[in-house]
Amino acid sequence: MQPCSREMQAINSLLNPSQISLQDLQNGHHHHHHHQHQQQQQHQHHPQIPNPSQIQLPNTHFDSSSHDDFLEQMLSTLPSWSDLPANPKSPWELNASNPISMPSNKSRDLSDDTTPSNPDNVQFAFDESAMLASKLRQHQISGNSSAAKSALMLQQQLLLSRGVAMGRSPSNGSGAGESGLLQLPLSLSNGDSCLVDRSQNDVVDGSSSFKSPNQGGDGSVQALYNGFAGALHGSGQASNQAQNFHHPQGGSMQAQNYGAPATVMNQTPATGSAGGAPAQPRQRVRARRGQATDPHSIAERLRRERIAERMKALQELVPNANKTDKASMLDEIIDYVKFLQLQVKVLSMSRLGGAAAVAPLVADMSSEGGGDCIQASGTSGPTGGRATNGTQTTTSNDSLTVTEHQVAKLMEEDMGSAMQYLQGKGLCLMPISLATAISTTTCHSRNPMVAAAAVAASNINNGSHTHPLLPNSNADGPSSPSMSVLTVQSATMGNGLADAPVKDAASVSKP
Amino acid sequence: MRPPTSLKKEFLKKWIMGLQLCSSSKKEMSFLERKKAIKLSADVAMASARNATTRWSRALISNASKDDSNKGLVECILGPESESLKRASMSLVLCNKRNRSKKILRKSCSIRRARKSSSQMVMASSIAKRLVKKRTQVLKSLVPGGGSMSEFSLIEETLDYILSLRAQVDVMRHLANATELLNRK
Repeated sequence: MQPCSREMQAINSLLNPSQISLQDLQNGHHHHHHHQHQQQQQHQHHPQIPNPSQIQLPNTHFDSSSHDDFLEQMLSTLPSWSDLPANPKSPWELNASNPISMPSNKSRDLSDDTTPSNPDNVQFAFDESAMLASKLRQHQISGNSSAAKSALMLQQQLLLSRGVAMGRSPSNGSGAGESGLLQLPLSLSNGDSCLVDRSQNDVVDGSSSFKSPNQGGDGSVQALYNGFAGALHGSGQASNQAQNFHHPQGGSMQAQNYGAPATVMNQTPATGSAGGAPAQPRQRVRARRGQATDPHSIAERLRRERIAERMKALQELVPNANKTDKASMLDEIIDYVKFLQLQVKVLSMSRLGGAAAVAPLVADMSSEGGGDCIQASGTSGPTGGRATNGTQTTTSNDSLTVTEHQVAKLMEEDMGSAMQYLQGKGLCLMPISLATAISTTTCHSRNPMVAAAAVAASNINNGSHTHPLLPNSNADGPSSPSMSVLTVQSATMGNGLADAPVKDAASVSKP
Repeated sequence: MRPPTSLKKEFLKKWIMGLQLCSSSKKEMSFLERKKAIKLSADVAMASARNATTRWSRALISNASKDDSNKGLVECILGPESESLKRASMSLVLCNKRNRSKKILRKSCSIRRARKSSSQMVMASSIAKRLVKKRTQVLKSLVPGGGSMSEFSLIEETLDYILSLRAQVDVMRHLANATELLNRK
């Protein structure tokens, strides 16, 4: 992906002044040092440069560069500028070799050159897309498909870095953007026109949905990809591109981005306001970068912030809650709530002021809707195993309860026979202290664990410990000093809760 | 949030009261019944400790008092303010039904909308959203009365519910330990 990375670096270095995302800077730095040499070679191969006016910009501005060596390279690689349809790589490479450390100069010069009346950095970013679009068009005209593809790559990088810098959840944006990036070249190679239709739809959705900056970030970046892919296919739209790109979209920078493909497709009105010369700054409230000024999006933003607050508060309550992902946080919360509920249930079964037989206890557990004790504690399964977990617990519930019935009966008569029965099943009894030791050393596998039902062995035993029934290979349950109170421990909980309120456990668990 | 110790104290008081009532009413209970009674009294006590300020507690109380056999117990535990609490919980049930029908309508519309915009590109985010939705559904089923809450209030309720559950578990365990020690001696 050599050209890709070069383009990426080029775009990054270009975009730095406008967006100044640290990541891009770093990326740019890295690539910058690596690919300097290759650029020079490339320059030799592609002597043609598209618009002299466009190339003027980096050139004039390189004059003010503080790095003379780069300047020399630049000047040496600027051969004839007269020929038009040229490789889009070259201007970007020229720009790329520019030191990244002077973003402000760049933006000023560039914006001054192209739009004298608009010193805003935002316009600068906007003009890049204009330049890119014009290059695309030229390549379409010249029918150079490979160059067009590289131009598309360029655009993708541009969009990708924009998606990265687009505020709210940059990870989401770039993630979605990258998936789009990967998929788009594939679809390009197929070269089917259905892409255009889909892209149009996406643009519609993208522009309509970007009210919430988050979604809009993803959807519009995709829409941009699709938009440009469609543009490559649709020859008739070539002429529209350059003109449409000069629409200032006003508002936020994103609005500008979204407006460009929308007008390209000529399908959807840009949700910003289109029209007018590129140079005029709109009389709009400049929103903070990455956020729209739409009342809907503001409300959504507020709502999301409130939810985030609450999730943070929950994080402190729930153990193992160092997850940043909302879905996994919810998972942990669910696990914990189920665990606590199960504890209450088991505690209420304990010997509060009286001896009780085991058989009724076990019968009770089986009668509770298929052993919802067991089921509830079966949430120790992994995050992805929810659905499967449910089915597994129901099937293993029956076997577990049957086993427990048997064991309870046997225990009443004779511990020895109970042990034999268990061993025949591949389970064993062990004291809880040992179980704890094993559980803490075993890493908990992410297989859905049907875990823990409480067995009131202590009641029968009249002893001081409770014995968990365990499979030979796997064990769980935290430590318990001699307590005969029943509690239930689920697998993941047992490993995670170091300071858990549960001190004693009797558990039946299966791998 | 109330400090946990006061919550625990209130819970303990009410729970013990409930237990006494249970044991006094029936002399010989099977283990099953006893367990249920204990759990019920514990739950109701916990809910009443919140004085029906939270939705889950109201839902709990209303669920508990639906069953006639439990009604007497619930009323005793709740004490003098039981009537007002019950009324509050009943109203909750009614508006739940209204919200539920609204939500069904909304869901059917959104499903139709969602199908249009399915493409490869947005799959990642939609998958994440679906996961989150699934899990919120599960959470709603766990938290009592959670079926008709918005996402935000659900999280708030869960917060409170987890706190109370924790307190409940602590108190119950300590009580159980204490009784066991006493019994041993």
